[in-house]
Amino acid sequence: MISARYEGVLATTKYASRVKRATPPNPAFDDDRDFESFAKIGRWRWSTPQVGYEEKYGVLSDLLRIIRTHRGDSVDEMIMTSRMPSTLRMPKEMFGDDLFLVVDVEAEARELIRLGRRFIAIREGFVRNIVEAGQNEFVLDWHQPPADVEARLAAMIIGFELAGLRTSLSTVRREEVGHE
Amino acid sequence: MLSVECVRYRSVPEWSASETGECAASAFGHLLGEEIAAATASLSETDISFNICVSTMIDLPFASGWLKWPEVAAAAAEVTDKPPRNFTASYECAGWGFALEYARRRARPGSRIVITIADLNVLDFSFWRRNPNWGPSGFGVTTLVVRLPTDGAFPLTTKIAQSLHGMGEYCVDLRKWLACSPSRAANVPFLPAGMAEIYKHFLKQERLLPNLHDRYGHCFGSDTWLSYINHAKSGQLGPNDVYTATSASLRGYWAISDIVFDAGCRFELLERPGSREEATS
Repeated sequence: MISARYEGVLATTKYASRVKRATPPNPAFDDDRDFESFAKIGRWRWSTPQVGYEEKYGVLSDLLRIIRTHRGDSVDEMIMTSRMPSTLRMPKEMFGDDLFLVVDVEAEARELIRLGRRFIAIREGFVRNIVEAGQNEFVLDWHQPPADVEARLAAMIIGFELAGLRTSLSTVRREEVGHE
Repeated sequence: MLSVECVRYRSVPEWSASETGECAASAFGHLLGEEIAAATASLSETDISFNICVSTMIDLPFASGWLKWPEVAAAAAEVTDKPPRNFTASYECAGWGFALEYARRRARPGSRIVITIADLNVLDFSFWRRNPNWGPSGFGVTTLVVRLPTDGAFPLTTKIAQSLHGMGEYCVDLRKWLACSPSRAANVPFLPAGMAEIYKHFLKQERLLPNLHDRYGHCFGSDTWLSYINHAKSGQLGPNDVYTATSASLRGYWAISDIVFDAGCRFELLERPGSREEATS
């Protein structure tokens, strides 16, 4: 059984040097209760947002295009973190009959492993504001990739780094399947 | 075609269990578990090949980390042996349709799919109570149990708008669907009267179920199933008749599917938490 993992952090983006309007909180503050509710979910420490709503979708579109270009045909499914709310429509790259978004990627991956599916699980924590959880991480797990996974992953990483990810881990595991 | 075996809606207009995220996760999970247990009482865990919770509203609580899905799922598992396995709010009101699309790729033919549609104002944001885009909201949980056909194939489309006029594109797509469909009628999202004029412009009224916004408000992905519960309660729903289930979202995502309701389909409406007003058809 083969599996591959990539871990990276969003260190910059193609939008980094552009001046842009700040993104308002979503949902918007309106009455006293809203302030109390935001206070409940607020945090003392947060990662530096590298993206707003529109930029995040731009980065994710780029990353998904890179993955789809280099993954080959032997992938049944991709799952990726569902992180809402959104202030705008998700881009077309985040749809398709090969991708589904869920809150708990790890739980979904366990189920797909149980079903014997060949899949790519993508966990992202690109924060858009200081209320969101995450460390700007991007983690890709590829279950049952093709035999030439090293070359495919290397090609992906070139694209990932051009898109602004700083790579911290890239590994391929080959485990012998025991015979009874 | 998908056969609906149970449609159950519990109205939850007030939500008070939000002192901490852990408290909210526990209450949310217990509610989901209770609803699923009630809707699937005659089923065993192995009958179900796909079980998910979808939402439009419960987004920021998860993105902020205030709610954690494993805690919600664990709380649901205290109440039922069939807890939902995952959650998504990405597809907004069309979430149940996108979940069916995903299930179609992996679910076992002949098995059941359970989808809970949960829209609860857990943090009482004013944005969700009433909004210029849809008027007053209605909060609650729908539990839907459907049986996959033995060949696994069923009519379903999920789409995203290509223009800024998502509702118009949705109506045009629904009109095309109905032109080729054997269905008796389609539901439409509950919208204030002025906004619902778009339905009259694009769609034949005699093939639409009523817009129940005045009674329920906009209930997000649950509008679909409230329509059919009310249709059944009115005695107009014929067993084995084909209907078209639809949902459309503010951002321009929609789902359309033709469905049938089993002769023994349970239609249950709990108007207020704790009430026992139920209608069975």
